[in-house]
Amino acid sequence: MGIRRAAVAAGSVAVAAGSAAIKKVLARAPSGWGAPGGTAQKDPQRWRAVTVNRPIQELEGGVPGPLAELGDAVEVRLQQAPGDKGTELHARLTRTGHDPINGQDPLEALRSALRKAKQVAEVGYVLEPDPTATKRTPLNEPLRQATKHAGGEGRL
Amino acid sequence: MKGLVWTGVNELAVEDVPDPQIQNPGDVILKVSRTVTCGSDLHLIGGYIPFMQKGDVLGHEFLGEVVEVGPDVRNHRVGDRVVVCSFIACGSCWYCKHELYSCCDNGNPNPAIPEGLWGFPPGGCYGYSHAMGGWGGSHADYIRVPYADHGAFRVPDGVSDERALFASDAAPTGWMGADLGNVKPGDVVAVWGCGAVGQLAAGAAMLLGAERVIAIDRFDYRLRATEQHIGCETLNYEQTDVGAELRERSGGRGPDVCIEAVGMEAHSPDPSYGYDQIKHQLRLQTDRPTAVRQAIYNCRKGGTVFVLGVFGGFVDKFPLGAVMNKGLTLHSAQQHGHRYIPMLLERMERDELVTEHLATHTMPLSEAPKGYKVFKDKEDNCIRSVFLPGG
Repeated sequence: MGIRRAAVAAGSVAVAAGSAAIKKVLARAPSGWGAPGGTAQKDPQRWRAVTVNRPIQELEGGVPGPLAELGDAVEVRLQQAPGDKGTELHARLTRTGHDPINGQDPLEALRSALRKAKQVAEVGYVLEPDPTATKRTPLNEPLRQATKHAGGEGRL
Repeated sequence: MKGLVWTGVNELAVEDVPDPQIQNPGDVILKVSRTVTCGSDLHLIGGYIPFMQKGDVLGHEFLGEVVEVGPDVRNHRVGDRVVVCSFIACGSCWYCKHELYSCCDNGNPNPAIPEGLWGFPPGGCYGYSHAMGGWGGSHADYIRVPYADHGAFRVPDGVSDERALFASDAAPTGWMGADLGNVKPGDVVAVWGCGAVGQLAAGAAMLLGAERVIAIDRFDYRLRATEQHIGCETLNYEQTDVGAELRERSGGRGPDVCIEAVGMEAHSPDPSYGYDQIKHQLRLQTDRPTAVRQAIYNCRKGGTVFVLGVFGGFVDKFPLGAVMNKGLTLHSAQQHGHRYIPMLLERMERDELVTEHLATHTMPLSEAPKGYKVFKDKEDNCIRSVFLPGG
């Protein structure tokens, strides 16, 4: 029994040490490594960007509807993308806090608007998903929740 | 309408599902004539890609008749017989403009799920889980086809439904492996897997001028079919030393191009198979990469390995040292079918590309659960089960 307790204690120490080491590595890692729950991903003031495969002149007259609909809740800037990649569309929230925008979490609303704006500029409309006819079960509830927010921020 | 739905791990049923409707101006609605099983469906059915929900309609390889068109559709009319690429691509984003259609930025309405998994989302795929868009599958009487001007292709009159069906996925996938694997005249090419995709990859390598093509499997009936219909050499990996055979048949160099067409549920006669199975079943690794390891190990120095088989997550014991020290090029993709399907249909019309032999079992959609069982268990010399909706 004593040996077992010692093993459990040693295991706990190892897990704690490993966890601390991982956190330390992630803290020093290049941007992106710390994405799961990291502050860099959740920083509400960070600029979010998509690249739109259209010339910058087409977007200078006004950003596409889904982003324009967010009004003064977001700040937008355009930048020529390098090479033949089109135009970088950058946007960030103009206010802090968690007040919903159009009923959505503000960051989810922003990311979703960027994705939709890109589709409108490139295709002409926002692709509608197929209506779901799936059945709710205890096992698929997490997936249903993930799918509900799957137009928003993606890096977990 | 009727559809084959996933109801739980290894559980399928034919049920009533809602009729699809035009939702965007670029959509068409197709009456499905033929729809076929694919080995990658088995990963979904078995729960190895855990993004299915009870009631999801399966199927991504199909052809049919256009019965309704959206107002922006220019290339199709009601009554057209079309084959549809399994991947959904807009035709307008940077990836589509560079013919990387399965990487389309605008084909997946659930981008956050694959972004979390893989960093960036690929395009959508019919009947292929909520990670790939949650699109309705083709094992149903009707299906909605978004971006139809880009993803649906008229079938020439001289090509039968039975043949054209495989232009949807298996043929372009196989062709892509040989094309992007950079197969050239004079090459020795090895292909792991003699299912439909592996056979058609071997056939593509031959049509692209490879000097010698060697396909590898363990089922004699699949090896015989490959020899008979594709015309290449074969190896049974349970009866011979594949590495030794490949080395000697390529003059001691090793194959120039190695194409893996097996995927995440690979089998091996080696003890490593038990290790991989245990880790896979305990979900300590998400995929079993046996054939990928062999392809990398046996490829010549400076050669190319193309991974055509579907993988979902993480693999163990990946031979990165062999990739690095032999200077290999490792290439992979979901299929960029839009760039190949018109050419493949022309080849089918000229009888250069034949696929009918792959459809070993044809049955009404109502028997689809049985069709998947026969396909999965490789009963009765099955290569692919084809379903006839409405039949």
